[in-house]
Amino acid sequence: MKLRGRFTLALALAALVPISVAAVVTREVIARRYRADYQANRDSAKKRLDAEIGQLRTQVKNVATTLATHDDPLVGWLLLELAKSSSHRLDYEHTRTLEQSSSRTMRGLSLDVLTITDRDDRVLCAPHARGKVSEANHPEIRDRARRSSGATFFALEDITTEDGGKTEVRQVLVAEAARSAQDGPDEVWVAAGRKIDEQLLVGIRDEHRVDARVVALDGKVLVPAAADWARLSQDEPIRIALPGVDGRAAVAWIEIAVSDGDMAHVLGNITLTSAALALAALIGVVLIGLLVARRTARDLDQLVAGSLAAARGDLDHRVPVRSDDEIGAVAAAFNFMMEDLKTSKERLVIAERIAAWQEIARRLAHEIKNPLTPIQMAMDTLRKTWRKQHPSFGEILEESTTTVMEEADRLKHIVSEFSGFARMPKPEFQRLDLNELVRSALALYQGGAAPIEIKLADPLPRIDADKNQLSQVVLNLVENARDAIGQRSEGHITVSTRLGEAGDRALLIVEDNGPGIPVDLKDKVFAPYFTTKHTKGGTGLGLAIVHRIVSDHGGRIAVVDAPGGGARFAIELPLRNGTALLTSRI
Amino acid sequence: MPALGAALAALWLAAPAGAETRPPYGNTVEGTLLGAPVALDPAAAQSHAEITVAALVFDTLYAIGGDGAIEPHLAVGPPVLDPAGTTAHVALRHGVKFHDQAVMTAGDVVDSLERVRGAVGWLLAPISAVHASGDGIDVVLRVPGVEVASLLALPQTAITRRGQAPDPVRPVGSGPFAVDSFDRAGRMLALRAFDDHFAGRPYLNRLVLRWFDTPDAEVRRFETGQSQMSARGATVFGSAPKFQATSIQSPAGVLVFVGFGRQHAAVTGEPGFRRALDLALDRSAVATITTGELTQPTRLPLPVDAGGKVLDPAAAGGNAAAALTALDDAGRRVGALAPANRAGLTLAILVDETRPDDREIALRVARGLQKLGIGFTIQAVSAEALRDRARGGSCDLWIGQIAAPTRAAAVWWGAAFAAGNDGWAQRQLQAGAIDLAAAAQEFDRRPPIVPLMFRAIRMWHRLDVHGLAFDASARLGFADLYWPGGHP
Repeated sequence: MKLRGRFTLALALAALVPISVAAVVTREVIARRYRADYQANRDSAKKRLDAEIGQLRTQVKNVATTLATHDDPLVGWLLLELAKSSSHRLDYEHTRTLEQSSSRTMRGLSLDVLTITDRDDRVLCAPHARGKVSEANHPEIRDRARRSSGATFFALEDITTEDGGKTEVRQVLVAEAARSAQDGPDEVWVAAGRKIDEQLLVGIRDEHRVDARVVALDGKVLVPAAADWARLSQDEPIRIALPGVDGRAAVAWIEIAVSDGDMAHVLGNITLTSAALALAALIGVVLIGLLVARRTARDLDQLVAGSLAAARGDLDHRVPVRSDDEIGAVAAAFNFMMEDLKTSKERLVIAERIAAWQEIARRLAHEIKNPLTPIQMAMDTLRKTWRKQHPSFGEILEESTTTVMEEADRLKHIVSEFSGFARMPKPEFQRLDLNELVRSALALYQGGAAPIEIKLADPLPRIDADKNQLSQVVLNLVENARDAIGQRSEGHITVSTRLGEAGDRALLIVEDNGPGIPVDLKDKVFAPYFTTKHTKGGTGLGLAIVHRIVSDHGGRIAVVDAPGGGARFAIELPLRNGTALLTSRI
Repeated sequence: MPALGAALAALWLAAPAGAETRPPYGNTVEGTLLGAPVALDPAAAQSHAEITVAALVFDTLYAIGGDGAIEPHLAVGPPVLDPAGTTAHVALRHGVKFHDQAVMTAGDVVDSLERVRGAVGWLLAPISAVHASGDGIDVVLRVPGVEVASLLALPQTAITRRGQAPDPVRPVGSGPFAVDSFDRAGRMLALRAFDDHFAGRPYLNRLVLRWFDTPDAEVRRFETGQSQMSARGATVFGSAPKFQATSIQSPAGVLVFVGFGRQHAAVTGEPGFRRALDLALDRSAVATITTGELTQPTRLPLPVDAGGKVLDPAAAGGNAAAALTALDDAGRRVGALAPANRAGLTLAILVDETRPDDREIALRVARGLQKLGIGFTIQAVSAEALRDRARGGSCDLWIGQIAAPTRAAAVWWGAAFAAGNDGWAQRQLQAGAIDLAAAAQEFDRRPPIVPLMFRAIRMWHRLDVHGLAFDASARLGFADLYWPGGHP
């Protein structure tokens, strides 16, 4: 990842981490508070509903007890009329009166259910379910009174409802109490009840927080919740059993659902807000980071460009110093360094030039000195023999002059070689095919004693190079390889080309299976005048010329051991002139 | 002078005597109908209210007297049969006028009877043709032995102008009262005395008949002096009435029944279901819903005087176990009636909103459905809607009335099968007569309706209102009503 990305990422993380931590901590604190409130609400709701139910049961029991007495205007009158009737049945007029009176009594006592049956279990009145009036075979009222012993119980009752022109029977849950009232042979059974409806539940309901509903055993909802039950009842609702006439088995349940106060909603909002803040911060930080990174990277890019220029040898390259910060200091330091390098290089060049001249003078002296000695000895021999008038002076003269002439030629050759090396021109680049160049250069060796194997990559991109100089490189290396393998019958030379793995350079490799180059000499083989072939007339400039040409092309050369023994010279050449090869792939 | 004095004395004596024996003419009386009349066309009359109105606005050839005897009305005498007994000649009164002063002709009579033959096929099914003949009409019978006078006493056979269906709002008849206004929304029918009625002008100048959708509304109107009669008692809550009142009661001649529609045709059309409902009903409870008038629980559409039987209390209470057995049997044929499916079945019971008693009756019918494990709703609709939906079958159950002013069992059977949209009785009548035993068997095999009870009508009226009487068919006769202390 580039510095710009890393910088932006680091800034983003620096912004996100504290926001995330703050959000998580805040969320947890609020969640704990909500949970505590939630549990308190559940306990409170159950307690309040228990109290409401207890109060209702007491009220219903008291009403039934009051009704089932002689003193009650309705039941007292009813017992009186039954007693007066010889058949112990009510006639039409009394039935109608009872119907009206019972209806008024039911309304007056805030009852929802009022059933009175006679001793034959015939329904005398049932204002809540008029369809039952005069029906026989209703022993359930008597049965309930006996089984409940007057206590309040819960039961499902049919209640007739009228809404506009529509009449329906609705099954409702009622808190009911049943008792008997007797006057001589006449006995009536009274069942009074109040329905379990919204009124009972409204006391515990709290908008959006607590709701309740009544559910029958079969799951049928008898009194629906006021709010969205599914939303409120995400946790298990509290269940309060409503026992039937035997006081034990439930006939229905009241379910209480307590909301966690929209905890999920609040927490969700916190999470959402945190996420939004984090996102905003992230966007801001990324934008700022990108701006800062862009500026920083721009300065760094200029430093990189300066470094590459320096690598290419352009020591005049300078980077602008835009700020007084660290980047500006680095740029200033870079410029200072470049200035220093330039000065040092100039000094080094001067020093190298002096050293080179010293070396050349030394070499030249050495090379010249070698022929001078035989010349001096020949001349000294001639003078001595002349003085002595040696009889073989003629032969000696001939021999000595021959030696002098040979050494003079040698001196001439040496001077010529040095002159050539010193006058080597700068390369004239042109776009050329390296493979073609290799084939052309090696054409001279076809059919020679040492076989040369050519392995050329195809295709190979064209490169910028001086054709003559690069041909000399090939020839010098091949000549060097031929000298290395000498007269060995199995001598073998391989010349190959290929494209570098990064695709930015071409490789020229010449290897042989000769004796190879000792390790301690590998660093010296490209030095001028270094040769191991003095006896063969080597001047030690062949590989030095190769090295110089490759360097002038911006390339690199290295010598390593060939896999099967021998030496391998590998040259890297940039495809384009002016492109520096910062790293060696050889 | 002595002669003049004697004459003046005779006049002085005669005047108070005349005032005492002849009721005074005039005044307006407000009375009650037992529900809304859907139509003022006698041919379409079915409910008690409709046949009551038909008798006030129209005349029939024969009429039913208070003792139930058939008496000539527009006819001048009983039908005279030819020797073969297949043609009855009915002589008509002359000079009978319609309310528009047009004189009634034999053509009006023939056209009216022919219209009834077409509109209510079963009613005159024994008659194959009607012709004008001499001073009256000839009625051609399909078979001998038909009680022609009984048929022609039915209110549906009333004579209309040119035998056409009367105007729905201001019908023209020849009856003792002419229609002044018919306000369905206001629940009121205003009639005025027809001066030229062949039997004499009614005493009242004006008769206003109302109907109500709650029991209390009628009684409140009576208590506040706005009406002079009430079918639901003289006091609202049983306290002493503000006006001294007495009541008269009709014979138990109005059949109350459960009819069946086709909304859940598979269910309500299943004879087993109808039988199960019949068995599940507690008719003793049904019979207590009226305001104290005579009720006779019944499972057959025959009044006692037509050969019907009043159920004993044990039988009237129903038989829930037998009902469930019958329903289980029906459930094998109709999936919706299978025990597992009954809880999901809800049937709607339609009632006439202007007959409050019917709502209470429907509650008892609903109890029968509950015993069968079937849900229900009761829907009160207008009388028109009830009739349309009952005829069209777009309902499940409905509470209906048949008020047939006759003791002829065949007519009751015919009316019962017709009410159930069943043509069996009509086919029998067209063939000559109804075999009563076969009718009972057929009725039991696939009941077209489920009879609940025959009920009488009790009418409370102020003591100073006189002349109110029921005929044998439980129709109120207002023609002889008078109110000496009434409003002009």
